[in-house]
Amino acid sequence: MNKIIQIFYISLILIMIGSCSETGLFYSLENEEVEEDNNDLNDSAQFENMIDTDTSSTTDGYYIGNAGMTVYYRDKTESYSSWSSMTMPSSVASTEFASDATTSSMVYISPYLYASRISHDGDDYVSGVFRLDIDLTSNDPGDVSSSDWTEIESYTGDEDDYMYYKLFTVNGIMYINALSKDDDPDDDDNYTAYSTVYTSSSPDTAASVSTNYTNINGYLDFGEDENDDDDIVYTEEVIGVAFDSNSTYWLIYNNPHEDVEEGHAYFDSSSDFSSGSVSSTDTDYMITDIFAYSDSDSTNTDRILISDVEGSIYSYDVTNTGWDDDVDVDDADIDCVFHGFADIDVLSSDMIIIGTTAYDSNEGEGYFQLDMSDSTLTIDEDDEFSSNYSSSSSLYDASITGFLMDENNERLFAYTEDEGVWLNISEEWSLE
Amino acid sequence: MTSKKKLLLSALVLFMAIILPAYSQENDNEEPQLEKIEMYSLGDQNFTINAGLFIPMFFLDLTPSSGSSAVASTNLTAGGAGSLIYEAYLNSNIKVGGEVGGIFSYSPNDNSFFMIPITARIGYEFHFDQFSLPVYLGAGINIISYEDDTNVQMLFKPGVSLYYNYNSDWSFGGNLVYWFAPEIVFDDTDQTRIGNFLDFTVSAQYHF
Repeated sequence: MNKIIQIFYISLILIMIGSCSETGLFYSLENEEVEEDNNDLNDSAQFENMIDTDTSSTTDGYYIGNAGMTVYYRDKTESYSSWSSMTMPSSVASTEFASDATTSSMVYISPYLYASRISHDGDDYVSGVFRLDIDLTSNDPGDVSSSDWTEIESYTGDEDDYMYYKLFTVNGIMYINALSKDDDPDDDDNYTAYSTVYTSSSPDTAASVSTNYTNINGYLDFGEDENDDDDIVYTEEVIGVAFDSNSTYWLIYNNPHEDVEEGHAYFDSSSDFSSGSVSSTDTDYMITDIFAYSDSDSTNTDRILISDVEGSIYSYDVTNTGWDDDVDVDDADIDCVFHGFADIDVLSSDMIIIGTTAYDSNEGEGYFQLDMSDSTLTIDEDDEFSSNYSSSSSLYDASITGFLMDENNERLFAYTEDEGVWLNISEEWSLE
Repeated sequence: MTSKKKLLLSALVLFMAIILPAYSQENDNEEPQLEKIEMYSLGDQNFTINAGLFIPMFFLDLTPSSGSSAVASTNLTAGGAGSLIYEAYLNSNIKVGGEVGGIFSYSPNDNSFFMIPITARIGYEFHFDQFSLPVYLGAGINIISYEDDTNVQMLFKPGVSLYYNYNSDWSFGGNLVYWFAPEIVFDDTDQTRIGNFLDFTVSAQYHF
């Protein structure tokens, strides 16, 4: 009997030790608030991009969000208003897009919107790059028709031979990454994939990619890749572009070969990377994002931040033109892959926020803050500008796709992979 | 028949008429010996299945900050509860056993909340007429799951039941159980809470 009692007490102690929690689930429930849903945007809408068509005005222009099969927009006059859908191009040349057509990427170079589209109907693939020749600073996106879009590049093919376009812009420069998979006609079992980067400083007047864009593969050391299986394996793929306060252009791309995965960062004073003084930094891991930080008060060091799939954030000192120590993410509780940056100085002085994304075994964990006035550059998981960002919010565990900071209205959008689009106004997050 | 024979026969009849009833009455005055049989004994077992209602009560904060109440709403909806119990009798009234169960409920944003209690229990059972009324205490672990987090805590579950003994094999009844579930958060003691819940279930109990 004594032995039974001893076993009971030991078990109880072990249970007490094992029952210690890192997260108070009861505390989370006690403090959970109903997430306000402001309008009729689908709670699980997945924006790939988000644009403010007039960053100089509090009321003019529109917010536009690309959710793949649908592109949404809403006006900026009210903090909360309903989202509507835009009409996208319906065909390339004389070939109609299939009903599952998606907008793969979207950029805005004032006053025009640019979009890349792709669809496939069975084995038939149709893709293209388009410019909307309507000034969205003064016209309602709801009035756009399919004929308002100008085609500047297109490709029709099949599952073994098609083109996928990604668009990027910085400082008014357009970059188009065309990724192709092409059947080698000499060998049915051997497929070739290649990637081409085009750039234009005047995309608003460029009639087509072939006539008014520059192929800059030679400056970026891109090449063809041959693969022996039927997997969709692209060669070099552009991830992002940036322009720092030293007037240097940056382009990051990954090289996802089967055996070696590499990330590359090119930077040059020329937007086409042709000046002959291109520098590059290679990493052993694929890159997820790039961000150019510039302090308007010139108090903090201007930097380029680059995140990779291993959870590192590299820091480049723009002023002193050299790489510094990585951003400190050594807190044991932070083990994430970072993606998505926003300068939120208007909400919290000297602060930027960095989103997280799901990758391999890592899950999204919302966002973290980084105080750019602190020279040690240490990630901080405490949110200092929101009153309701906590473990009881679904944004707290979300995989972030990106942020849009409307500084004039002090509105911060966070768009996620699986938890919808969120808006922060007056220190509170709510679901769009 | 001679007069002697008539007299003898009359005496015999008279004897039987008087003596035999008296003899019977004597036997009627002795009551049969009754032997008490206990309802259960060492070695008897039962298996019970329960299903019913989970009622969140409140969270208790033992160290509330100034101006804050120690008692707070759980923000949970009422939910469902179920469990399986095995018990063995030590004697007619005392029984020991174990219970595995589960509950589900929802948060204000329709997120699912689950708890899986695994407890050992000891009880004392009162018997009257065809009813049994056990009172018991369970202690063990409680596996809690909410969104992507899972915690293991200790748990205490005092309760009372009332069963109708339908026959020697089956009993049916209901249970009212209180959950006393502390959650200790060493990393941030301000988040430590004691969960207080109720469950009310109906039972089918098989004896073997």
